[in-house]
Amino acid sequence: MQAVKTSFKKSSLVLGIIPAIFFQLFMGVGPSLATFILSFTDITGVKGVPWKWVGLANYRELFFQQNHRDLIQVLKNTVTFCVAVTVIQNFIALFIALALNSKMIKGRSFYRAVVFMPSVLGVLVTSLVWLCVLNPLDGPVAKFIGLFGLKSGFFTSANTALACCIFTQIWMAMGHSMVINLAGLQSIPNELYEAGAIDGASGSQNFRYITLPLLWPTLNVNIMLAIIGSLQSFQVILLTTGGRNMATQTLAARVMFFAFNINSGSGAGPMRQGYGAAWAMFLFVFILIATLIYYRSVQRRDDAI
Amino acid sequence: MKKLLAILVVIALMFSMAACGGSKKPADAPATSAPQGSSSNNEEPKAEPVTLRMITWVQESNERAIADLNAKFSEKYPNVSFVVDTVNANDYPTLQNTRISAGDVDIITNLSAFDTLPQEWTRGADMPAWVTFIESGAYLDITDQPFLKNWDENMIKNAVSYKGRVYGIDVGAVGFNGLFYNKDIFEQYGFEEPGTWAEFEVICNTLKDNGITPITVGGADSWPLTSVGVSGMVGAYETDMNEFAKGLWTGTRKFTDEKTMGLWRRFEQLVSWLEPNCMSISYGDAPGRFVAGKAAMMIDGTWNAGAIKDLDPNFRFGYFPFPGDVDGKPNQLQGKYDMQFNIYAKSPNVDWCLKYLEFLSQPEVYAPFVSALGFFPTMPGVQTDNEFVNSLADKNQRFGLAWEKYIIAPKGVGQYAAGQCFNINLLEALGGTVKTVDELAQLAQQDWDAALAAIQ
Repeated sequence: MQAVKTSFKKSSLVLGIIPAIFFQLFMGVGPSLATFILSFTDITGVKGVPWKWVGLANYRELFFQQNHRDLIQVLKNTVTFCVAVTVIQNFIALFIALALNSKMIKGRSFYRAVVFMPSVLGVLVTSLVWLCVLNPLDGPVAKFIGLFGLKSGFFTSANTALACCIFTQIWMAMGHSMVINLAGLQSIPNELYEAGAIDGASGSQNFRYITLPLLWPTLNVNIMLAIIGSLQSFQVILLTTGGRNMATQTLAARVMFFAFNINSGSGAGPMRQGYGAAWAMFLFVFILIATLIYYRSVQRRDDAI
Repeated sequence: MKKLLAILVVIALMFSMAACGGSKKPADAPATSAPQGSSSNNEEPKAEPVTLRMITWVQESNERAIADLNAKFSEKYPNVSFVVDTVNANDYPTLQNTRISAGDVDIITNLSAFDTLPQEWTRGADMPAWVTFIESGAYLDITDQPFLKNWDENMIKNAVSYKGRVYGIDVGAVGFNGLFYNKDIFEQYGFEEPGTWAEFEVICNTLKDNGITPITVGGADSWPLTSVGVSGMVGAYETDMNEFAKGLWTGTRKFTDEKTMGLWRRFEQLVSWLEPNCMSISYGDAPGRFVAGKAAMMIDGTWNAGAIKDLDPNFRFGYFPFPGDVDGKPNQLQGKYDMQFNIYAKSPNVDWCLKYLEFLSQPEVYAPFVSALGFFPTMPGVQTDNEFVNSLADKNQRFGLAWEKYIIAPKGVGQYAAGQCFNINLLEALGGTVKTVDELAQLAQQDWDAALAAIQ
């Protein structure tokens, strides 16, 4: 194979990508390393307050001075939130993408826009909408289930708050997953389905032997994005339950709680960004492990195929 | 290429660390009362257009009072205008932290006085945020300002001083250990303000038996129930709150001892009298429900009388502190110094901020301000013409601090004993998972013991 001739010198290429590399280092790698280093300090984040190196004190507090039952509950909430959001969101997004990719449905563009709309609304509007809809006092859902003699505290009940947060997160983020799936579906050559039709393949066989294998890389991206996104997500939790309820506390919410003294009520406590950074590093390791587990399981599946 | 990458990583790291805004150098020396660029406070600041950035929390009557005060100041000094940013009280500490960190503020209002300092028995407790701000030099030292002599000495000493220096002005005191009550409903049933818990029980049970919800509260914000309801009931039940707080730390008192269980039983009763689903009522919506007659009483602080009046000027209401066992009628208010004004020491408009506090310190300016706030005045000789505040005069003879000003929870304490330590919002009846107060008391004690053990 002949090498492609180019008029660019290698050094020009390197020079060309330096701004991008620097941007990535400055906006991504730099702050991450800084967070790691700051997790060994008692920095508050308030300008002018002296801070010092405290070694492993923040990690000792996180693992040994923190109430263990609460810490386990935070981990449980994080895993539940991540697994539920990833599985349900991707399942529904795939189903809707398949439906809206079908030529049998008229006005597909309109429906695609409707499904994508929550992603445009943003987290604040979405949270407020669902707080109103799921208001246990006089919200429409409360009134509806009241007709059957049922009642629920929704976001205010420890039993249902996390489920409501998961639902809101999925409703908000599903549009993105659906659009990515649609793009994946549209990149599958039609000839393959035509060949399948000639061979007498049924709809389910088409899905199993053509759609799914060719869509798998797209699904992988979606699943990975959902895992990382849900593990990092705290906005819906803070905006709907205020993060005051331990029933909805996740690792990401804890980072915000400590680093920015969120929801301390009387505001007696100071910001503890060094301690918050230790929580952020814990979250980082958690995401890394979750991603690696998923990556390895996918790799094993691909190897088996 | 590897070398180049390594250099880039180091540079990026240096920038990122620098962006964190901290400094290993000692804090900048706290600003002195003589602001930079001003030879004397008596000297009029230059009449150039100035916009003072102020932050405060959402509370309609407070916001209105501040707006009026600012308008008066702008009337006197037409070159000065104001930008007042507000968020709800729960988020206010975050706004304070971020604005001070960014240096994007001139005048800061504080929810409380300088209080809840760690005691000798509160091992390992963090310093409160206000100490951090003073030590970082964020609050201007106003010790030498002449206008301070207009204010109550006790307020200056107990509420706005730290290590002998003065950093602000607390513009009033508030009570928050009780409930507003609907006078029409009380008269209908022949009730008077209760002097004892037994009388309070009769009132609540009678109302409930007659299909009237006894009490509502803005439970969605959490603090109205814990900081006001719980705090008020602890204050009514425990004769020496300092000893109680100390006893919990030293082990002479337990969440599960016989005496404290009596308090838990009262919490259980309180929960049974609350409006169903009150944990989804926001603090801002609660007065509306109270005025609409959805409940006969509302747990709240005296500061919110203005909001009730705004909703219906003809609505007849009163306020009484949670009663205890002894008939101390009229039971006395407990609370805190409220709304402290501080100046951001590194503000480019320090001169004008000082002028603002000087303006506020004039009795003729302060009197209508404190009346509009609905606070008890902290300036000797100033009388409020706030009808509601004056109606509480007999309950303000032996004003004391509320429970939340005494209790400091151990670092890392679990959810059942966090905050004000009696987290009744975790009870199943209020949307939590704990079935009974006995179980909650056990869990609170376990969390407390575990946290104390972790400190040692």
